Formats: sequence, structure tokens, C-alpha cells
Amino acid sequence: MTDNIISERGYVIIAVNPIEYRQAQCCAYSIKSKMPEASVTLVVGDEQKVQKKFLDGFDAITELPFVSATTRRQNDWQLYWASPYEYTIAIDCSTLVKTDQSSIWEYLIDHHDIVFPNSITNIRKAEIYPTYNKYFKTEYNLDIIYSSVFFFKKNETTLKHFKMADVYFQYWKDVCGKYLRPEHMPDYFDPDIMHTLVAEHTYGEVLTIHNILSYIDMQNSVNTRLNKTSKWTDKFTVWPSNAGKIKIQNYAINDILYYHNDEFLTQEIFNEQRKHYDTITK
Amino acid sequence: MSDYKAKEGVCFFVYNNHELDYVDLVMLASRYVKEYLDLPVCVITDQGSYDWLTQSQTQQDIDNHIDYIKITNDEFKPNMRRHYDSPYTEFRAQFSNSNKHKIWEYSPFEKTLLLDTDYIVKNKLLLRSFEYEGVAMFDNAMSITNLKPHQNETLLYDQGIKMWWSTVVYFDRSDFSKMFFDLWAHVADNYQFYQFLYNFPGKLFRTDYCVSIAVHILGGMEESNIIHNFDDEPMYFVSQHDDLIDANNIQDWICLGNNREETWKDIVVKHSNLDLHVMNKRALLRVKPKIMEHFNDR
Repeated sequence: MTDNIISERGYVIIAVNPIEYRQAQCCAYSIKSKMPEASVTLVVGDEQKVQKKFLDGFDAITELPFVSATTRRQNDWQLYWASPYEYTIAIDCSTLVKTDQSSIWEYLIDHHDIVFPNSITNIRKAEIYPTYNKYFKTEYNLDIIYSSVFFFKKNETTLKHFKMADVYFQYWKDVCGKYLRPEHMPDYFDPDIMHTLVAEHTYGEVLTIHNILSYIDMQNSVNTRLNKTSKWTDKFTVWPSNAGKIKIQNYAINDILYYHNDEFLTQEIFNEQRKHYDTITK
Repeated sequence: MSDYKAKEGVCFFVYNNHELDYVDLVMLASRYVKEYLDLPVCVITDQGSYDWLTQSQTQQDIDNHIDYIKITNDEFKPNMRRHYDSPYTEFRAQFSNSNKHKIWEYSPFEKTLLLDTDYIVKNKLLLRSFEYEGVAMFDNAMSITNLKPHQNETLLYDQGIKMWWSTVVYFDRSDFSKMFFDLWAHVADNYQFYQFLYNFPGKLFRTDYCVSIAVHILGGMEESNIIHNFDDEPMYFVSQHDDLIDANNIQDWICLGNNREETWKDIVVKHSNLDLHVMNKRALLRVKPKIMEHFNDR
């Protein structure tokens, strides 16, 4: 458990293997390119396994304080103890932050203890609804929350969410089996579904849902539009350019981009993000 | 201001082909403009279509319906378009639209409303556009049976950009409008490149796509509201699979709305008091004599 608070506020990114370290590093580059003063911490299972080259862009590296799962998001519950910040925004490693969130930070700190987004969008900023969103509402009366980006403070209130998540995330199959019908069981650990169940079962009073942290979700964009599972990178054209700019289908991405699929993060895109980070910060 | 023949007016491009008599269409469209908008009308055409205009229409009708005629000499690339007249008739004809962006140069008005000849004005909605600064176009449409258009007329391509309709284009003479038309010209000149960039299919040159791309670029490559959209009003349309079968008077038109899934089925629709984009041009030409009779009988 992290006892040392290194900064009042900052970002934490979990990664548990080299592919994810690289994604997390690129995410850190993107954050610091927009907010050079931001503090970003890499959260890993075993610090010894992380090559030094992956540490550029981070202010700190810390280990998950308890036994780590190989599915990175299954470790979300540990972030309360792993985060070296009083106020934390947790971001999935396969995400890029292409917007300055300074004012969002002020708002979140002033008004909320823990916030998950209640909406996700496509590249046109139109709200999208993953398939499970519909039956969660109609069959279980649950409002889905999204978890690739979320904010929390360290206090007794938010602790309830993480304590419940501790149990739910480790025994996610049992939990889903108890609350969801077999046809709705996810094939894999789904952090959105699990955070939704945790939120629901911590009697709703802990959590705030808010669209302030809404992000572009590429994988759900494709599933929603084409009604089948396929890689969005096979369908869309991506154009990186100087100053870290990214266009998808010629839409300029000026928001939080949850790209999900590692094929997106080509060496060209990675290099552009790093180059822009270097230009801004060094 | 003094460079223009009138402050406000309506323009039509009229280029006949061997299948469709746009000259005849514009006589109807301009009659409706006179009725509901009471604005001067300018027809932009070529020598052949102009000759046909003077042969096929009486001078009195021409004088009553058209205030200005501009004869152009633009070259058109082959641009064959597949047309339908209900689900049962299909034909192909040249679609001469590649100079539409030159309306900036051709219009004699300070504030211009450019209409397609198959867009029939049946109320005063478009008059509000003259209060806008910049450019206005429709960005949503509705069929006569209250259905949205096919996806390729909502977005350019699946997850592509939003489609703006070039059926009705309002513009003033601001720097922004000039920039819009310059960009439209650039996209038109480099259509294949932009087709590749924006990933949309098809071989037909569409000005709808040109303006959509221009709007997207001008908006910083994001969804934006830099272009007016007639206050979110939809553009009602009769698709090429629908039919226009009768006119009770100049307002009440009887249409057949074709069922998209079961194309042998139609629903009868009475349409009145709303502007209508009649994509089935042959149907419009069939009913035109009766509509003109209604005008003359009043």
C-alpha cells in the first residue's frame, strides 16, 4: 500500500505486461502534452519486470499492493490503496487524453467523491449504447456506468466502493452468475459491468455518475454500428500527424480516446505522441 | 451591394439532358417561389437548355417566372446517374452538377437562395434564412412517410461525417461564405482524393458530399455549428421510389410512399404546406400540367 502521497492530484494507469506498459506510456505522453504539470503514476504488478524504457513520461511507478490479476482491469479495486494521490483520475492504459482537463479537475474536486461517466460517444461525439446497455436497463433496471476513466478521492465514502469491488472483482464470475441470467453472462471480465454492479450494491449513494468524464469508445462504436464484434481498426482509417494530432475517419480527436485495440497504437502514432511530449516538456 | 442586381433572390441551375426536362421543372419551381417567397428568380443554364426554354415555353411564362437568365459555358465531365421513377422504372442520365459551387460567381444577388429545380417551395420557411449570416443548408431530411433517409444520405459512410444537403444552399457575401465556396471548389477539383480520405463509396460526383466535406473541414474536422441548418427543420422529400400522383390544388399533393422493405406496397400520403424535395422528377413532370392549371384557375 502506498503511504507516500507524492502529489495532491494525479493520474494512475494500471499495466501488467509489456504491451500495456507501452500503451500506458503513450497515455502518459498524451496527458503531459496537454497538461505538462500533471502527475502520472504507472501502477504495475511487479516493478522489477518493467524495463526502464517504459518509465519515461511517468512521475512515479508503484506496485499493486495486493496480489495482482493478469487481467489488468480486474485490479481496479486496488487503486484506492495504490494511488499516490489524494485525488485520482484512473485511466485505462489503452487510452489517449487529447484534451486539457484542468478545469475538469477543479470541478470534480469541488463537487464529488467518486465519479464514473454515464455516457460514451463515437468519433462524432454522438452518444453510443453498447448492446448490454439495453438489457441492463430493461431487465435489471441498472444504469450502466463506464470505467475507462474515473475519478475518486480517498475518504470513507469512496472506500466503500473499492472494498466492495475487492470481493466482486476477484470473484466476478460468481457475482455475475448470481445477478445476471446465463445469456447475459460476459465471456470475459468486463470492468464496466463489474463497476456497475458494485455501484448498484453499494446502495447507490457512494457513486456519482456524470457525463463530464465521457470519452470516445472506439470498440463500442464498431459493435454498436455494425452489430457484430470486429476490430474497429479494420474499419476505420487513422491519420497521425505532427504535434501529436490524430484523426480517425478524418475526425480530429480532441477528447479522451479509449482505443482499446493495440493495433491502433502503431509505432508511428507512438513516436508522434512521444515527440510532441518531448517538444512540450523538454 | 451596388454590384448586385437585387438584395435577395433565388437561383436555379438548369442543364437539360436527354431524359429529364429541367427547363420544364424550373418553370414549376419558380412559379412556387413567386407564390410563397415573392423573390426574383435567376436561372443559370447553358445555350442548349436556354434555346429549349425559349422554344418550349411562352415568352409570357418566361417573363412571369424568371427575372434573370445567366448562360454559362462550363464543361461537364461524364457523370451518369441512375434514376428511378417508382421502383418499377429505372433510367440513367447525365448529371451536370460539377459547377454548382460557381453560384458564388453566377448569382446576381447579394443574398442568395440556391434551390434544386426539384425542390418545391410551399411555405415561407426559407425566408428566415435571409436573416442568417454565412451559409445555411439542411442537415437532416424526412421522407413523406416520416422516415429518415438511407444511411448513405445521413452519413457519408458508416462512421463517416454527417451529410449536408446541397439541395438548398443559402449564402450571403461574407468572407466566410467565400471561404466555404472556395473550399467546395477545392473539394470538387480533388474529389477522388477526398473520396479516399473520407472513405465514401460510389462513382457518382455528388455536391452533397462536397459541401459535407467543406463543412467538416471548416468546422475544424469536428461536428460543429458553423453552418445554419434552417433551425433544425428537416427537408421533406419524395424519394425516387415514391410517386407523386395527383394535385388537388397547388398545396394538396397526393403521393405514394413506397415501402422500402416490401417495395410492392405503397401508402397514400396527402402532403401540403411543407416544402418538398421531389427526387422523382418524372413524377413531378407528370403532374406539373395539372398543378399549373390550378395556378391558372385561381
